[in-house]
Amino acid sequence: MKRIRLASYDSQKHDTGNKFQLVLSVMDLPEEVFVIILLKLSVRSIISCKCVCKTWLNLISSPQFFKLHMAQARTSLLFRDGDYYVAEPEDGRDLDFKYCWCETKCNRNYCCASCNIRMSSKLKCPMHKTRVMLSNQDDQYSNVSFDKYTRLINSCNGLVCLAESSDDGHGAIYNPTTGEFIILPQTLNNHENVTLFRVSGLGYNTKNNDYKVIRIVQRNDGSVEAEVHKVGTNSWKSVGSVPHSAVRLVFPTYLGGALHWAHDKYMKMATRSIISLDLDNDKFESHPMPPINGKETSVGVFGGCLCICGLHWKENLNYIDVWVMKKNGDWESWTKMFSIKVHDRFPVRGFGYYLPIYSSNGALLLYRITHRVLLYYDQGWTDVKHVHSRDFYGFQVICHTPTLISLRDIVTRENM
Amino acid sequence: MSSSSTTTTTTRLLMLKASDGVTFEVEEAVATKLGAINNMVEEEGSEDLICLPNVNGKFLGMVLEWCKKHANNNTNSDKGNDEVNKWWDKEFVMDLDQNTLYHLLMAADYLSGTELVDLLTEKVASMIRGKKVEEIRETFKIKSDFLPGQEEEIRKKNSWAFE
Repeated sequence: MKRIRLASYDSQKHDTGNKFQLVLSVMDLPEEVFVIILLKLSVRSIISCKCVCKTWLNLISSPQFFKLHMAQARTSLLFRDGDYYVAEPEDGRDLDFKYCWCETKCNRNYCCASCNIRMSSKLKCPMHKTRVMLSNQDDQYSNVSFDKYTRLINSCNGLVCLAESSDDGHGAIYNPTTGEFIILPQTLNNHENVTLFRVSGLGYNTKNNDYKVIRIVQRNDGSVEAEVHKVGTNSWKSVGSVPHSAVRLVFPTYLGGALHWAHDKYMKMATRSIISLDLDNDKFESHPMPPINGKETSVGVFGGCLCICGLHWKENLNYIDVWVMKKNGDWESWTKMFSIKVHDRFPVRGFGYYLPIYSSNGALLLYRITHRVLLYYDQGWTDVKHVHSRDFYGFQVICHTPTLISLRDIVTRENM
Repeated sequence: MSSSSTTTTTTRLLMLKASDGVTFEVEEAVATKLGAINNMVEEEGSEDLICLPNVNGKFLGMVLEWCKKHANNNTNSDKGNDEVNKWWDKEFVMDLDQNTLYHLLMAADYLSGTELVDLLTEKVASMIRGKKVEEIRETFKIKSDFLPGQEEEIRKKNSWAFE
């Protein structure tokens, strides 16, 4: 009989045979096993673990760990109603809205006794002042109030892009998980005759490991160009004109190394398009929209694909048509997924943006921007359910994946 | 568990020998639930005695018990099997003391029993969830080794997580 011994790797590490007499503790587990455990936890629990002992702190603070964490981080929601809240399920699994709706026929305006994400126990993420600001900015911004960044622009890899409501180019990048933020540099170069600075989105360039913010600059003479700011630097760089001279780039959606926006409302049907910026080469592209009924269209992500929601009016009812780009990057692959009936108490003919916020297993969460309410739709249903929360009125919400990435590291280019 | 084999079966039997000399005779389909053993069977072929010097007999027995349950339930293609497995897994981890849990986890990791590692790490994760820092220390008998002020600093930076 042939004999083989299985002692193929690091026998010391797994030497439970000889340690049998010993009582093992969680600290005896090999690091890669303990990492598997950590990755099953919510960000909130991971941060608690950071405070337990030095070994755990060092492990969780290592760039290797936050890369692993980011690779499998789960999407959640970021609410803003003055403060910032992350709705993250405690067990670190996908959000489940199955029990989070009320029948639209419900008599009461707001009730959600069986709400599964328990927004009443929402996580509060106060904005912390940090020391990551560039040193030459320290004095300049030490008295800045962060309450003025009232617009949630978008979130990319767990970093949130915020802007002032007035289009003066002021904005900030914020990581609600670590509590860090940095202010976008004020414009210094050549800003005479500028009528509008509009912070339009945050994206990530995988090749150079850069986070980039895009803003639109419009001048007195009507010319429109875009500028890109690399997070961690102190300047903006012009990347030239914008297709259709679009000023209103709405619903920034980061997917596949590019930022995508809808460009629709004030344009003729012929130029209604999706504008994309490749974050590798800072080049714009314009693509026609699929043949959507109705005018008001929004952009988002559904099941990992770029998706468009368009509202149209038929037989005295509003319908949301959901189109999905089946193959990322293939602009011919637009497919209509479903058409959702919307029951509104006071329906307005073909009016209102319904933004696809979050999708999971074919179910879709929509945010009605004009009324600031959440709607939930699952495949096979004929209409949407309203998601209500006692605590939130007039909130903004975006899709957000909490990560442990440190703005300090981005600024100092450490651990990248 | 070292069994006297009923040789009428057509399935191949493997001998596994633990660090303390205890041997287990198990069906190939059961033992190959463990990635490391599966690899060896594929590479080496033929009936072998496999020595596992890093796993004690007690824990190897438990690991194999788990494999057996899952191998058996997987052969029937009933839809209910998933439920049965889940229920059985729940029972399996329910009353494990921490020492056994970590011994099993290291054995499962060593033997590349991915599914079992997943089950056991989930058990440890469930012991952390929803707990305060002090409660985590208490659960796992960990002493804080931070310098004075160090812990407060980390808490301050991440205060949202402690509200």
